[in-house]
Amino acid sequence: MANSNTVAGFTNLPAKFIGVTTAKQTFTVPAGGVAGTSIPGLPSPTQPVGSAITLCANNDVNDSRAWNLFKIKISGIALGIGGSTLTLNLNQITQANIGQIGAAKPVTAAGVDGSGLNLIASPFSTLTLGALTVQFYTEVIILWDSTVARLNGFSWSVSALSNAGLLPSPPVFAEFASGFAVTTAADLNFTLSASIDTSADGTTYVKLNEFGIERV
Amino acid sequence: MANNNTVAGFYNLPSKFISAAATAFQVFTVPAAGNYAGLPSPALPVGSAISIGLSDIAGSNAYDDHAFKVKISGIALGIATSTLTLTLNRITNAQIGQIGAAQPVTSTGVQGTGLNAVTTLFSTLTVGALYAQFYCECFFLWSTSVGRLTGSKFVVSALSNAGLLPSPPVYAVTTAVGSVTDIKDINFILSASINTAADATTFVKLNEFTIERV
Repeated sequence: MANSNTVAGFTNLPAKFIGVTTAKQTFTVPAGGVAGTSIPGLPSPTQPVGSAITLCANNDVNDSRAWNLFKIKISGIALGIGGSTLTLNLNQITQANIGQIGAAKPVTAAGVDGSGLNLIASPFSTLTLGALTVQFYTEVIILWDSTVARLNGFSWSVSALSNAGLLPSPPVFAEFASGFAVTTAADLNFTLSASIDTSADGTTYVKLNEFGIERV
Repeated sequence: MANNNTVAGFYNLPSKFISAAATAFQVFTVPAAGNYAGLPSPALPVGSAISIGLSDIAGSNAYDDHAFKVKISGIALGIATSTLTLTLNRITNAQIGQIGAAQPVTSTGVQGTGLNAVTTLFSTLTVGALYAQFYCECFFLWSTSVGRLTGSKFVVSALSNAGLLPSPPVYAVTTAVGSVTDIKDINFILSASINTAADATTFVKLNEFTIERV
């Protein structure tokens, strides 16, 4: 849950249903005023309906020197069908791309990842879902420095097949595959997307309980 | 960045340039006035080792038998083939701000004999001609009953310009320091060396050197 180090983010997002597709589907801003599916505070002038839900680091302190080290925390549950697996991706986007929709933007009009993002981490690349609800938790530690002007970091992740009450694997650490050029703190913005392999159907979903930024 | 568990430390310290053929461990020292807010101070004069510690909360039981964390992050720049060694050391309360051969730092800015090496955070971190970003957490356990400072560390680094991490995160234990019977004697300083390929353009910049509650 949010704690005293949480500086931005969202909690208890509505479930995102993912159909039979291998495309990376973006977690997008739902319509407002609909009980059970709306998110308080969204849509907003900067994040309209259908745009990618975006964490903005520089909303808190617009001082690039402060953002050399911080954490993105993601937790939630997912439900699949027999044999299905989930891939969860954390992406970086520029300030200019916040709230934008289009093929060259973070999310397309169809709700899948556009080309306007940098994939920085896949905390779960093939998380087995099966027909059981899976709980997952991941922390992504970001290293950024305005002199270096590059985004690096690592993640650690755990997951549990809740119905069975068993952990499929110990906590896993992974470094970013590569860093990305980020020259200003204003461009420290993050979106999430997910895909389920082709055995998924319309009943499979991912529900984010937490997608937030914390001071480290 | 600072969080609500941070209890002491420094941020965005000025770059420390480490010159050629300086294989001796050079201490991160207090710069002249005007370079860093709050330094120098009566306890930490110019040229003394920048130290963080629990001495200023002596008398508190908050850290007796309870873990705490020393957090270090920063960047470094070298030249081709150069490597960085970064060490964390413990000093006593009496040695805070002292300069001399038998103190934590000598008048020339290198390590004196008045310290205990706690752990080598990076032994040969490649800094080359690329920026290296690094991040370390040291978890310490201390108790008045045991009288020893022990702990573990977690270390990651990245060659930022290349966008590649040189190694996976590393976990290891720290070197135990005995005869630490008073919380006031739990203080830390940092020192660094770059191998002989380094020149005057090589530097280490600490973005964070802090203590946190755990």
